[in-house]
Amino acid sequence: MTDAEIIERINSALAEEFELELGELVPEAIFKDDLDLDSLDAVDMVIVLEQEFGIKIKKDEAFKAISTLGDLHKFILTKKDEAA
Amino acid sequence: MTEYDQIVVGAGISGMTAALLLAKQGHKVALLEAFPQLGPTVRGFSRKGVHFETGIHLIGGMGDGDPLDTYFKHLGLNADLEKISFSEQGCDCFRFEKQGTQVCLPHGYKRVRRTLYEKFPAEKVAIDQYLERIKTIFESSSFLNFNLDFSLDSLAHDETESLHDYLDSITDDQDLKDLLSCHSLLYGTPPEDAMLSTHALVAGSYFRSSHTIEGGGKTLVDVYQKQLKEHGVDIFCGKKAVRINHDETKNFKSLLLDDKSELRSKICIWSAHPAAMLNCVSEGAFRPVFRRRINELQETVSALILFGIANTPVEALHRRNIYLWTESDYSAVLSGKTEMDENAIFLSAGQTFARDGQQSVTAIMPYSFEAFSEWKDSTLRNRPQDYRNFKEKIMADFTKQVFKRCPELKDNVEFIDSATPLTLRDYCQSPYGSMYGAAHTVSQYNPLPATKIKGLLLTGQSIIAPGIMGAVVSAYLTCGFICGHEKIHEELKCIYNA
Repeated sequence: MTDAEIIERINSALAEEFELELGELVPEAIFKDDLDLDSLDAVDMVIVLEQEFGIKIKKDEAFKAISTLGDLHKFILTKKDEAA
Repeated sequence: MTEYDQIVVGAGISGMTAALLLAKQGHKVALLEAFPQLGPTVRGFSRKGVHFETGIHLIGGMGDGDPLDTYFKHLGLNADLEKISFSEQGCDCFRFEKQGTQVCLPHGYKRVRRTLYEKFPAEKVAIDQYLERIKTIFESSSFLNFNLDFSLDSLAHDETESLHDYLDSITDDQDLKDLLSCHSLLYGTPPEDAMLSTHALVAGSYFRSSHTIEGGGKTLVDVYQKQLKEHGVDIFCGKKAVRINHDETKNFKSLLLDDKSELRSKICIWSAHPAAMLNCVSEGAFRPVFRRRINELQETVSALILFGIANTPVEALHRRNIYLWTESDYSAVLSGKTEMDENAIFLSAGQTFARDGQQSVTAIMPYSFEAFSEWKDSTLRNRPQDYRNFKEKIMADFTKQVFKRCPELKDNVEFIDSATPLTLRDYCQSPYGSMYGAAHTVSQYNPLPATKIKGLLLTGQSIIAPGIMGAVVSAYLTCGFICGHEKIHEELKCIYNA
């Protein structure tokens, strides 16, 4: 899977599960302010991403520092690299 | 219509604790319970003049100065509770049935250490490591160690170490691992899945102290009820929440009951199973992903329970419990799908005798809901005949197992009643009759106290940890968001240091 394909899968999973428009999902979008996803949603997001990519995010300190969609893309790409 | 400061749904230990705590802080509180009486699971029941326990068999961490003792003082319950200490010489008797040996774990860290050293002299290093680790985890929570500064960090469900992996890392001795995992039978989650941190809260509480209460669970509920009334809590028993109403911006507004009455408040604390809450909210209130997560929560195991009467008190169960262990595998046992002769059995007796010296004896065997799922649409009052036939047969087999594997009970105990996973489901209102609500595992994200409906908060065993202490702590956690965690923590600290 190329990086672009991974990013597309992240975006479509989020769009479907959190009822967002794909057009809103730009890398600079801030979860809290632009997408209205708060810390409660973060837990659900972790579950969606763990299932989508078969990775473990629980207890990953780096996840807590994520604030934009672009941060999340980078985080997942790194995780996928580690798993590969 | 009365407007309440808070409405609490469910009057188990967490619900009663939340209602009482809030009322004592000066709030006007309504407490709702679907069952006709408070604390249906904890209170137990009576037959033929004997009281049977269904929720309280042994309480950890309630000795003088222990966390639960401090919480009960804070709630004003302590003066009316007479504690009965389980045997300091060994109260959790773990029988390795194939070897024909038994280890009775006492309470008190020093005594536990000595007992383990005696049985496993070659494993002193592992034993020290284990006890130290359990103690450290237990004492690093400000909800259990009141002299710490208040912090929510210790409750974050971000542990990934399982009990199984931890034990593997310290010892190769399977018997020691089996013994140190025995408390997992008290929270119904297999060691492969169980977080070491959850295990430490349960095991650590029993290493501190092990008690029951004079009069058992019924007395505990009565004492709660007395305090709830004294502090002006409006109690609605036999009424069920059917609809959670919120406004357009998702602020909690009111609760509709099955008798069409409505309770108004800005805050609702849901202490029943989180999955039951979903049935009461409108379709669009939560995202599909949250709904799915709650509906698919991995549950703790369910059980078969036998209730018996001993004509004379059972010496082997005097101030102690017995764990019958066939040296099988916890993962199989706690999936509830093990053959009976390979399954674990927990035996416990009432420590308060009936007037003529009779004693209640309870046998519990982990058992899966699946075997009973074909009758899942029946209720307590309309079980079909084929269910009753099946239950009779399965309980006869279970009784045989108990008498064969614990001969001390054979000519003394008569089992007169029993419970299946369906019984547990209908009394505890948990979807699959789980004994301790949702499991706390290394891969599961349990729901947090806050929800996307502002003012709708969750509490109970499924949120933080199982057991009486888990339920009490979860209520303090959730109510802290209303009254201020720091303030309550200060009050607990003062009581603890008094």
